Amino acid sequence: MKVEFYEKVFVVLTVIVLAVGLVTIGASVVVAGVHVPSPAGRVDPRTVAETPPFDQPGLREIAPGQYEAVILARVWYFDPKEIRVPAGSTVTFRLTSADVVHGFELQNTPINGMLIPGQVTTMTTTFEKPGEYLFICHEYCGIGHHTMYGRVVVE
Amino acid sequence: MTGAAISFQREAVAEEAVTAYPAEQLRPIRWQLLLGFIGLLIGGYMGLLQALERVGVDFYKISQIKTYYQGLTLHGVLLALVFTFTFANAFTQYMTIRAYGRPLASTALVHASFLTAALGVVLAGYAILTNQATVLFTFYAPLKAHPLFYLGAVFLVISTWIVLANLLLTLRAWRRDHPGERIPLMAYMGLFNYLMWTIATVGIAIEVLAFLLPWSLGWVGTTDPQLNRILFWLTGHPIVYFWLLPAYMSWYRPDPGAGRRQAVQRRVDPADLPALPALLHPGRPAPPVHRPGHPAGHEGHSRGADLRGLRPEHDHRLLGHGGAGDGRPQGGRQGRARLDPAATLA
Repeated sequence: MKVEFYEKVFVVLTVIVLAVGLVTIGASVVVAGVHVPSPAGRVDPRTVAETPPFDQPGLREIAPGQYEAVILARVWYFDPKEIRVPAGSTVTFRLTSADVVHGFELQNTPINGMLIPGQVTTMTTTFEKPGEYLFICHEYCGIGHHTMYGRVVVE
Repeated sequence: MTGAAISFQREAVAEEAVTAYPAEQLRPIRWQLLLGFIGLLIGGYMGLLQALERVGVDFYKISQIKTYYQGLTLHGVLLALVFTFTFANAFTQYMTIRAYGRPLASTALVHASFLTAALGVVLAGYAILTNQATVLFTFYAPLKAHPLFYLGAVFLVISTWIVLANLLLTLRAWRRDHPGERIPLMAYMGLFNYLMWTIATVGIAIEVLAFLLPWSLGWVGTTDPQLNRILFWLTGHPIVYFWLLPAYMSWYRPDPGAGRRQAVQRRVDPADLPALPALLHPGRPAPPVHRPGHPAGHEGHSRGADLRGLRPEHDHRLLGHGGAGDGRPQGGRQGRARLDPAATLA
């Protein structure tokens, strides 16, 4: 089959763009530490408030410098709204929603995921620099959506 | 326009093609197009309100919109669903009539497509305007809308299925009269866009009919948000192609505006495709395009998908062929493209 010159050029360009995209995604995992939130199990949203660990949301130290932050999202707030960790801590966020679909984006970090009722989302990051990190719900969840936020304070 | 290499050739069409625009089909097609543009107007206005809200100017109250999110839902539904579906329906039906040079197989189905789309708009529009379906156009469960919202979405999707049915019936009728001929390019593109789209709508159809509608009516207690979301995007991602392909089609078949009296066929050579974006700037002359190794003879125009007889081809009957070495009629005027495919619908 004869292929036109310009068609060839465009096919090659398309393949190059795809290849660059794939490499970039791979590099983002290795270099920038971006991870897709893993489905870390299911939980019944109707009884989530009585189900560990979501019956006691909050921060707990699981090893020196290692923390787990359990946060339950509801219309329209995060429980808890604020967590405090020392600089250099590695924090694993364990999140779910008790009602509708929410989002969880921790600004200026790679933490960014959806909170789907029935699914537990876990994401891990290390906070090197002290400061305040805002987290927001970035998935429309109803009339109070824009009031749904909290913060991580790194001391 | 010296140096322009996008040389669309014009050729007057035989009289039969001119008489092939059935008014009883064009009317509902126009109504559907009008419905889409009314949607575009209102949906676009909602976008304006959002922008103004950011700078502290509130037009929601005088627009009878209760909340930002209600306006956002209206915006998304009208632009992503209503305008997309109705424009693609109208444009594809019209272009198919032109491509075959004959009416669509069923006038009833042309009416049915418009009426189901209009019904869908009325039902979903009622639910949104009464603030009972402020769930955005993605309507992720378990945000719950009024059942009429979901029903409206169903009817909007059905309007596109009806168009596909008519395209298939028309292809069958045309085949009977033209055994062994290749499908005209525009008919081919329209048909395959609708085939692709209809396969893609399986997701939203299952989501709404099997889960959301029974759930919103209270027939079942719960629904799985994760599953619903996956089903939605099975359809949601291809929506982009569904609305993009009619735009591509319009590039292949820009309408010179000669309209009803003298339907004109332009030919786009595949070798010219890289220059097609230049058509988006009709005010500027197209840059020269060299076409090294351009094959003589007609095969240069008919490459591409060869799907067992469903091979796209320009309509020879409408074109007529000059004896030029590159298969193009001689003496055709070189024209700059105008992108107003809908102009002859007016």
